[in-house]
Amino acid sequence: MAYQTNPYLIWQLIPGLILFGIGLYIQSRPIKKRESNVFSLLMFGGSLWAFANAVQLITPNIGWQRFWNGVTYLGIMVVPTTWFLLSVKLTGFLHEQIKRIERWLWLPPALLYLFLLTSGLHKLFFTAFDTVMLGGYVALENNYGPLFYVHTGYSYVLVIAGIVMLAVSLITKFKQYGVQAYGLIIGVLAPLIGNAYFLFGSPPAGFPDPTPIIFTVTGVAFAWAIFGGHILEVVPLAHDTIVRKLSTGVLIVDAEKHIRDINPAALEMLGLPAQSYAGASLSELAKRNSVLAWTASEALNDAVQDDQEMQVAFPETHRTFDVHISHIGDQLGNTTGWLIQFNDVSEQKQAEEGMVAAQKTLKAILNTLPDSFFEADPDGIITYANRAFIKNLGFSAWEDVQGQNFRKFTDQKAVRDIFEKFKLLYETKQPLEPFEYNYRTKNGMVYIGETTVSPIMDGERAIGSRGLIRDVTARVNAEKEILKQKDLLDSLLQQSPIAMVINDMTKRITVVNPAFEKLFGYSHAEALGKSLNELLASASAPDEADQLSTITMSKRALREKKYKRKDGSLVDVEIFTTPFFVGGERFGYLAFYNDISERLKAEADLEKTQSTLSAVLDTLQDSYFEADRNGTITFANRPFWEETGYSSKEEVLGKSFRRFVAPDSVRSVFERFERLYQTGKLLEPFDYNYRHKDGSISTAEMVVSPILEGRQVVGARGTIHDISERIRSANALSEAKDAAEDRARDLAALTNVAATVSQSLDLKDILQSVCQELVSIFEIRNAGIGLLTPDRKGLEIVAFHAFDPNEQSVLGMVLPVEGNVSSMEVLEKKRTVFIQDAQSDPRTSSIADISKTRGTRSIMIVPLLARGEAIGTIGMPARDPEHVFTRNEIELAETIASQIAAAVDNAQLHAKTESALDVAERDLEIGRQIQSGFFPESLPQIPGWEIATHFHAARQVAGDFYDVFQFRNSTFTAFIIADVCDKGVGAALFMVLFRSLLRAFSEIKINTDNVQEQLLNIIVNTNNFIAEYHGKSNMFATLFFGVLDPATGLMHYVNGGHEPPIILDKNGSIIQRLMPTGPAVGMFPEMNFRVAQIRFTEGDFMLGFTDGTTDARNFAGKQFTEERLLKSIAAPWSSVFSMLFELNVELREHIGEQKQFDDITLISFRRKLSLNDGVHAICRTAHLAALGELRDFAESAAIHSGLRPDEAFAFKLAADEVCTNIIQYGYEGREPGLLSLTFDVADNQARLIIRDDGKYFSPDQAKRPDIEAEWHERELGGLGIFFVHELMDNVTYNRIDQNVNQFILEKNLTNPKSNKE
Amino acid sequence: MEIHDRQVDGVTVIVLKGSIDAITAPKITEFIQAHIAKGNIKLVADFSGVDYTSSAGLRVLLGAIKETRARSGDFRLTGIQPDVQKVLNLSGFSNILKKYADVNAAVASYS
Repeated sequence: MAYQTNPYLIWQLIPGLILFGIGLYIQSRPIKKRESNVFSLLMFGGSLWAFANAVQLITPNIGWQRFWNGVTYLGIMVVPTTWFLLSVKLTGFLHEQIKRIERWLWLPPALLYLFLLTSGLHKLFFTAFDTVMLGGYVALENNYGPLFYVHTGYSYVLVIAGIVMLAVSLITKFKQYGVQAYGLIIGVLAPLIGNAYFLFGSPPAGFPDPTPIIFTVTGVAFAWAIFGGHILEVVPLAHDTIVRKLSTGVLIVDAEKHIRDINPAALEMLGLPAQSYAGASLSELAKRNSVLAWTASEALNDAVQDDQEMQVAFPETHRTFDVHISHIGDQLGNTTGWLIQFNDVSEQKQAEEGMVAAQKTLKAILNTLPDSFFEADPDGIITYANRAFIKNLGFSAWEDVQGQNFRKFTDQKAVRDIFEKFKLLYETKQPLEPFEYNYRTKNGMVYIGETTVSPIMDGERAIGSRGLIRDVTARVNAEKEILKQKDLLDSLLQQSPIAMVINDMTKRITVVNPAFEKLFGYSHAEALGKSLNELLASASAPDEADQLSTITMSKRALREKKYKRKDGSLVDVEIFTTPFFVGGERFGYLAFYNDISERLKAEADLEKTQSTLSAVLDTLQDSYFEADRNGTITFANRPFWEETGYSSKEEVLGKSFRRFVAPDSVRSVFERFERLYQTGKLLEPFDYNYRHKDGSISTAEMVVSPILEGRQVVGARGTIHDISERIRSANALSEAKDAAEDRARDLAALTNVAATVSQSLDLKDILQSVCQELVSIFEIRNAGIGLLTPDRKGLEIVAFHAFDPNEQSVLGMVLPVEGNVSSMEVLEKKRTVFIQDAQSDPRTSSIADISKTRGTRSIMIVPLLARGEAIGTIGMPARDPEHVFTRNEIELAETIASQIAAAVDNAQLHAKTESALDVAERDLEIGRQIQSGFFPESLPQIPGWEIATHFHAARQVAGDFYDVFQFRNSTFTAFIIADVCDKGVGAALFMVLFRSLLRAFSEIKINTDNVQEQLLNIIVNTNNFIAEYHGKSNMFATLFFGVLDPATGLMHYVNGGHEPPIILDKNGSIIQRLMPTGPAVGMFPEMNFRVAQIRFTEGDFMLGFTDGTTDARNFAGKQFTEERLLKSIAAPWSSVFSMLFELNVELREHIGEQKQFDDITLISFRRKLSLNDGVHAICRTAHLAALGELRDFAESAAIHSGLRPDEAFAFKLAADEVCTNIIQYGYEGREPGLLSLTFDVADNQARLIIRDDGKYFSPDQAKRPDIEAEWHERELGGLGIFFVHELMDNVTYNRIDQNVNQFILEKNLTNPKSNKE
Repeated sequence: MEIHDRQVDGVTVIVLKGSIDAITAPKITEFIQAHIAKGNIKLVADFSGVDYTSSAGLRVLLGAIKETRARSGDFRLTGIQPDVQKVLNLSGFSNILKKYADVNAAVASYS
């Protein structure tokens, strides 16, 4: 094949060669970058385009021309894409985005080229190839298809985009590019011009595509721009993205030391203003007072080619810079410039200096540590030890331990242990957990060290160990001590009766003791971890528990609060809290809770009592005051300040008592107070003048007593009674009042008699004293006491006292009874006889002579009755012969006589038992006798009502009493139960006085209309009498006085501070308590009492009791209690007797053999369900005195039940025999209990049940008497039980309860029909 | 209980009134003993006022009978009331006691 020539061939070969050369040059550059490759590819593409086109031109064969045409297009297709990519990389526009799609940019040209190669098949790129003959050579003429134009458009888009980027970049960054910018402009513009010419110009025919030629211009311009300006080495992109942002200062100078580039960091470090320095010389910068620049400039003076490093420090500003100069040279070793880097190393420098200092300091610190510090190598050889280490081990200098093995300082026993520890350390290369360890000092002592060891690492290698040892010997010992203390604390907590809790600092409960569990009801487990608030807060103390803990975290505190128990109930506690320390550190706080409910209650009661007292004192008529030892008034009641003209208590308090004393009385009052303070004894009442606020003077009577604290007199209290007031009121007293006072005076005398009687046991003495008293009480000439002689034929005058001392005594005279009609009448009828004229009355005919001699006319003869028998008389002739003894006088005389009789009886008893009884027992016996003589002998029988009482005497004489009586000419019935305060003979005497007063004041006419008024009078009169005449004795009584109208069931009552009687309905439910309606009786005069009412419906009960009942103690000292009393009686009872019987049995079971210190008194009554309530029952104290009542009951119950009289008599006799047996044997040697009898008829059989709580004895033990025997063979005993068996059809006897015996007497009724008749 | 006594023709008449039971019996015994001690061993007890006696009363009687008869005296009753008679019958005392319609007859029985 012959090659043809082409005139344009040279224009193809030259650009091809140039472009190829540039491409090769780029690739040969020592520093190649991606930009370089793109640029090379652009150049090679252009070169291929040109060369392939040249080959195509010289190829004659059309086929080959078409082949080379294809190759040419390969170059053509590469160029636009590479041009675009180069532009992107040079300008940095859309750099990141393009980078991502870079490979896809190659897809369109690759596809288009594929279509080009396959154009023959589809004619989409080239439609046809024409061959053109041009001046002897053949040229291929392409006919373009649609894809060709797609290709062309795509290519222009890329090329123009590249041009625009470069243009914009040039415009904005022209100066940075320097002169190279001009090359770039030419490179950019060249293709534009060339292409415009090819497309729009008119090239000669056959002229090949000029683009390669033009592209050559571009390539050369670019190459100059780039390589002449080293653009590729110092790429603008890098400049922008890296250099400008570097914290390292970067300065690039060219070989002439002119500034090529400088970044902001460098400007700052050089201390230069931010402006362009491009082209300026380095020495110019140095002249601008920049030490750094100067330093760099100096460094480059010799145009050195080696890298240099230096450091420049500015001490004034504490700044240090590293300057690093890199030489930039080409491959020939020519200097092209220098890169100068500045680094601010001030902080690093300071850190280095700091490190040195720190290490020094560390050593110093280590030496000041109290803890030992060491470093050792892996063999355990000490390489460093601080001063403490040396000292603690007993050495003095570093040299002593240096190079020693660690084991030398280890206790023998711990060597193995420490070896294991270090082994572990080197294996794990981790710090060890702190461990306790015994160290050995130089002198062999052992101390306990808490040791922390960590490895010294060099990279991955453990090259030694370092450790810190704290001497914890003291702590360990302290811990032992704490453990000991903890044991102590634990035992304290466990055993303390006081509730305790320990809270930690977060107020959580950590410990509670058993007492706490008991007090609040929470178990230890329940309480643990909770706050006290959660457990104990109550409505009244909502968050006290925690608040309290807050208060007491730092100090001790004492509080009283109301807290809640687990069951919701509240408890008053006294709380003491204190901070709690464990091992010297505050752990929390410890709280003690003391249950003070009882104490608070007592305090409340006390307060109540005190306020009541204060109120009571205010209601007094008399002034009352208290003063301290200086005479300063500390208390005054209302009358005190009202009387003295002041308007309030406060005005008076704090003033000296002297202010209220008239000047003329000051001295005497002062002396009396002094005596009071010195002796501590009550002063006799005395009169003095007192001073009102306005200065006026009044006269008053004052009674002063000491206020004692122990034996110390701390003050005085007194009452002041205005005498003038008393005189006025005395004048105003009515006659009735006078009469009452007279009677009261008589009764006061009675008290004297009682006292006399109780004080002496010598009968003669007693009776003599009584006669004296009688003469002073009554307006009588004399009093003589005659006792029946044993043969009852004479009255021996055993005591006599005459008003006139000259009157002849008749002492010792025996008056015959026979013929002495008056005395016989007195003795037989057991009643007082009053004779108006002894000289003429036939009844006194036997002493008419004596009467005439003595001038006696009016005489009163009173019987002495003891235990139902008349034992003598008292004769009392009036002083005034015409005197008529009043009813009152007679009653008083009778009352006295009954006491005398008791005394005589006692004396006789005493005479019999004197040797057996010791004096104390005798006194008690006398007291009891006095007391028992004042109980009613029998109880009134009221239809439709049952009454039962019981009295259990205390070991000591006490002051209980009860009384049941019907008012004169009335069915109104009085029920009285009372307890005189205190015990002993004194209380018994007052009991007598109270009882007598009540009876005396009850001698009135009572009816439905006046019952309320009359009852109040009885109580008020009794109260005033005691308070006025016996106020100094300070005796009073709690007293319940009820007046029942049996017809209506309405009871009026006054409860003077007595235990509230209990009201039960027929079902045994407690429906009411009769609460106090006034104070105890006899405390102060003119107290207020109120009369209350209660109506008893059928089946209702009342039970009154004294505190001896509820206070009754068993062997263990435990009281019976009111709760138990209420529980015992709350049951449906068929009669009041069964109730009282059962209650008494329970009481006696409780008491056992225990002697009681207080009387037990029970009084009860019941309104029957109907008048003939089916149940016949009675209950009486097991005294022989009750025997008559008991057998009468049996008889009348039988009669009422329709039994024949003989049958009724059988029950009467049987009841008598059984009861006698029980009383005499069942209660032998013990306190009498109650006997309960019930009678009923069922199935033609009558039955009497007798119960008692005495000793059990078998009635069958009694030997059956032989009733057939002769008189001398008959024996005295056994008849009673024999009778019972004879009279009854069936007799059973058993013990139905632990303490209750029961007799059942049954009798078959033989002729029921006749019973009714 | 009331007790009186009087001497009639060397016979001591003891008049009793009331009921005889465990309370009153010891006093009666005491009263009778006092007479026996003084040598009054011819005794008549007037029981017309005694409406009741229990076995305690019978012991009084038996004691009196034994004491007096041991001294060749006696203790005789008059005026026995129905309820007392029942008790005497019950105990078999009717057989060992001497009873008379009135005091005079009883006193006369000693002569």
